[in-house]
Amino acid sequence: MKPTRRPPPQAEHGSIVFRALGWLLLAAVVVAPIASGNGYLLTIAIFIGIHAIIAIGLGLLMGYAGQVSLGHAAFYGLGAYTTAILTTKAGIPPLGAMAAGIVLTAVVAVLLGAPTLRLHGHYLAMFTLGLGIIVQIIFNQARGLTGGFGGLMGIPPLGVGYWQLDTKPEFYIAVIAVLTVTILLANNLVHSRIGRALRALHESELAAALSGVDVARYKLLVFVISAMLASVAGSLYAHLLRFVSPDPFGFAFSVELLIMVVAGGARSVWGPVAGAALLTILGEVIAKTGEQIPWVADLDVILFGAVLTAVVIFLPQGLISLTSRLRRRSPTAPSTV
Amino acid sequence: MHQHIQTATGIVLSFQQVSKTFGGLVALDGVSGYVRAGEILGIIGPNGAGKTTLFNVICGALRPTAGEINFRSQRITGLPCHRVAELGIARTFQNIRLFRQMTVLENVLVGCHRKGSVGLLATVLRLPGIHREERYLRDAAYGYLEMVGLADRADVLASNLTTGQQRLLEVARALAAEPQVVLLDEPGAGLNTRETRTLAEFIIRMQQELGLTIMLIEHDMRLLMEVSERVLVIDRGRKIAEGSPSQVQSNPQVIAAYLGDDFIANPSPAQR
Amino acid sequence: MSLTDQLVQYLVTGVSIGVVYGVVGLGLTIIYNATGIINFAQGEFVMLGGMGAVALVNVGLPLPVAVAVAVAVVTGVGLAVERLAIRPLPATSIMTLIIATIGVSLVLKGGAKLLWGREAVILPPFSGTQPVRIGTAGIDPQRLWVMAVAVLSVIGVQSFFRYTLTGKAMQACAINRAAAQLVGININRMVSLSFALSAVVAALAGVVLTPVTMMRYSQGTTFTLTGFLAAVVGGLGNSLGAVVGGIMLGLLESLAGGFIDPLTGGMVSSGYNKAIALAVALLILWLRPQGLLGRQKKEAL
Repeated sequence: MKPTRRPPPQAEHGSIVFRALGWLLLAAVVVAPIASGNGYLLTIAIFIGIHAIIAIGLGLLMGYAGQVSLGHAAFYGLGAYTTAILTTKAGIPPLGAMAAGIVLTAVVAVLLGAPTLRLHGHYLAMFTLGLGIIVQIIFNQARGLTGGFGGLMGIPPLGVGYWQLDTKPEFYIAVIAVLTVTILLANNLVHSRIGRALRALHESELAAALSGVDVARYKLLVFVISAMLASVAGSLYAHLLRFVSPDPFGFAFSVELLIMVVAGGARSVWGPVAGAALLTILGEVIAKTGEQIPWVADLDVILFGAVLTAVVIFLPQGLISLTSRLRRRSPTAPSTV
Repeated sequence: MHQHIQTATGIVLSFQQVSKTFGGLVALDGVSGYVRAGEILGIIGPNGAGKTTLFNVICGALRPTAGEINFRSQRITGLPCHRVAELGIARTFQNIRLFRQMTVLENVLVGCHRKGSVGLLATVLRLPGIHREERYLRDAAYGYLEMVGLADRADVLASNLTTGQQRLLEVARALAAEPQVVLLDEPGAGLNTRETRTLAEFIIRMQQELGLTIMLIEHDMRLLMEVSERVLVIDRGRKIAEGSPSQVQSNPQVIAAYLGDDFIANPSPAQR
Repeated sequence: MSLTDQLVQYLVTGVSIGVVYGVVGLGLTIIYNATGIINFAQGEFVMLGGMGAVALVNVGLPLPVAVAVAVAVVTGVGLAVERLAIRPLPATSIMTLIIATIGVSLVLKGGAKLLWGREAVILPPFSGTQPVRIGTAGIDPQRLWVMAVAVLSVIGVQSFFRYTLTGKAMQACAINRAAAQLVGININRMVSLSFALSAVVAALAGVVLTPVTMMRYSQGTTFTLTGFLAAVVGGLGNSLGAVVGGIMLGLLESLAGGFIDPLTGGMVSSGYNKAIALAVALLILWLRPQGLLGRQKKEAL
C-alpha cells in the first residue's frame, strides 16, 4: 500500500478510554436487573429490551431510509397474535410460530410498502397509520380467532423441547441475546455498502439512483426488515406475558416507538436503544405515580408530545448526539504526533 | 449517405424527437441528436432553453412526453435512473447534489455502489468477503479522488468543500460508476478562472485517457467551445443548430437566439 | 322501518359524517397548499373545537357564545402551533415536519386529556331533537346542521381564495413561493394564515358534530387519517375533491355498518365498518396514488 494513498486513522486515546468506560457502564446496566433479584425491575428491563428491538428497526427506517411509520405497533401486534394463535390453537411450537409471524409481517410490509414507498414521504406514514387502525379493529372484532377485547390466554413459555425459559431471569437473558444479535446485525448493515447507499438516498434520492442505487428496492428492504424485527419483539412479548389483548398494539404505542427513535437519535443504532430505555422508564414512572396521584396518570400523552416536539426543535440528532459532544470535549490525551 | 456516416462512426447515444411538457409548458419540443463514442458534445442555449431537461430525460429522472432515447442500440426511454446508471450513463448536476452529510470518500464510495455485489445476508452477518470487497471499493474510490485531486480531503464532510471542489467531487462520483457516457451539467458554474482552466484540462483528459464520451452543458462559452468537437444549440425547447464550434458561432439563428432575447439578461455568452 | 327508510337513514348518516371528513381534508389541503406540510394535528383541531365548546357550555355560557369562543380559541391554537412548533424547526424535511406535527398533536391531545378527562362529552343539539321528516324517514336535525356548516365552510374557503386579495396571495404562495416573495407577499404571514384558516374550519366541524357523535380527547387521530384519505382520494391540493372524497368515505362507513352484517350472513360484523371504509380508501390509493379526481403529479426535481 502506498503511504500517500490512505492516511492511517488517527488513534484517539481519549475516545478509547471513553469507549471502555462506556462498555463497562453498559455491562453493569445489563447485569444489574438480574443481580438485584427484583422481579419488578427485571420486568421493566425485559420490556426495555423488547422495545429496543423494535426501535432499532424503526430507527433504520427513519434514520437511513428517511421514512416514517406510524404502524409499527401493528407489526408488533401481528407477531404477538400470530404466536398467541398458533401456539394456543394449533399447537405449533414457539419458534415455529415466531417464524410464521415474521413471514406474515414481511408479506404485509411488502404489500403496504411496495406501492407507497415510491410516493411522497407522507404516504407511508398515513398508510401505516391506516394499517394500524385496521389491524386494531381486526384484533377486537375477530373474536373467534383473537378472543376480541378479552384477548387470548394460555400461551406457553418460549423454549425448544426440554429447554423452557419459564423463569424471568432466563427470559431476560434470551431477550438480551436477541437484542444483542439485532444490534450486531444492524451495525453490520449500517457500516456497509448497503448502509452507505441508504444514507445516500436519505440525502438525495436522485443522486443515489444515478449512482446506481435501486432506491425503491432499498427503501422497501429497510421497511420490511424493520417490520420483521417488530414481529420478533411481538412474539417475545406474547411469551413473556403468556397473554395478548388488543390494547398494547394501538396507535398510541406506534407513537411511543416513534418518540423512542426520535428522542434517542435515529441515525445511530444505539440511539433507539437509549430512547427505548428512556421512554419505557418514563412511562413506568408516570403509571406508578398515577396509582397514588390520579391526575399524574393523565400526564403521559402531553409529556410524550412535549418530549417529541422539543427534541425535533432543539436536538434534531437525538440524545445520542450528546455523547459524541461529550466525547469531543473529553480531554483528548496527547494528540500531538 | 449522412445516416451511413453516423452509424459507421459509432453512435453511442441518440435521442429522437424527444418532447417533454410540464402541464402547459413545453420544455422540449421534438429534439433529436446523437453523440459518437469518444466525442465531446457541447450543448448550449439561453437560460430555460431545455438543456437540463434534456439531461433529465436521458438519465431517467424524467419520462419524456414523446420520443425515444437509445443507448448502444438499446431503447432506454422511461427506464428508472438506477437502470440507466447501470447501463453506463452518469451525470453531474447544475445545482450540486452531493451527499452533504457524508465524507468526500463516502460520496465516491456511493458512486462505486455497483462495483460491490455482497448481498444483504452476507452484509448483516459480516461474512469474510465483506472486508475484501470494502478494501477493494476504498482503493477504487481513492483512485477517483486522486484523479480529481481531492485525495487529501477524503475524510472531510462534502458540505465543507468549496464550490469548485464540490463540482470536482461530483465528477469523481460520476466516474466511479464507470460510465461510458458522462453528462456534465454546467460544471464550470461558480468556478474561478484558475479552477475553470483545470476543469477544461480535466474534461479533455476524461476523453483522452479514460476514453469517455461526454455531453457538456456550459454557459462559459470559451470553455465549451474549447473542449467541444461538436455543438448542439437548443432554444425554447427546439434544436436550432448543430455543428462544429465555428459553424455554430457563425450561425445567424444562434446569434439571433442569444442576442435577440438574452443579450441583456445573460451577457456572458455574447462576449464574443 | 322499511328498507328505503333505512337506506335514507344510512345515506344521511354517511353524508353528514363524510362532510366532516371532507372538511378535515379541506383544512389539510389549505395548509398543504400553502406550505407543503401535512398537518398531523388537524384532527386535534376538530376535537378541541368540540370539547372546548362543551367545556364552555358547562361553565354556563349560552350555546352560541360557547361555539364562537371555542372556534376563536382553536384558531388561536392553530396560530400558536405554527409559531411555536413549525417555524422554529431547524430542518424542514418531510420526516421532520411529520414528526413535529405529530408532537403537536400529542400535546393537544394530552392537554385535552388533562383538562377534560378521558370520558366522551356531549353538546346539546342546536335545534332540538325533533326529527325532520323526509317522506317516511326522520332525520336528526343536528345532522342537517353538520351538512350546512360543511357546505358553508367549503363555499367560504373557495370564495376566500377566489375573491380576496389575501386569498389570491396565498394561492400564489402555493404555486411559486420564490416568485410570491419577490412580488412582496409575506410568506410567514401566509403560512400563519393557512394554519388559522384550517383551524377555523376544523373547529367548526368539531362543534357541530359533537351533539351527534359525542367527542373524546383521543378522537383526533382518526379525523386526521380519514381527512387525509378524503383529501388524497379527491386528489391532494383540490379542496372540492377533499369534500367529495370525504362523503365517499362517510357513505362507505355508514353503509358498511348497516348492510355488511346481513349481506354476509353475519360472517362480517358491522364492527368492521370503519376498517372496511379505510381499507377501500387505501386500496384506491394503492391503485391510483394521485386519487380519483387528481391528475398525475409531476416529478419534482
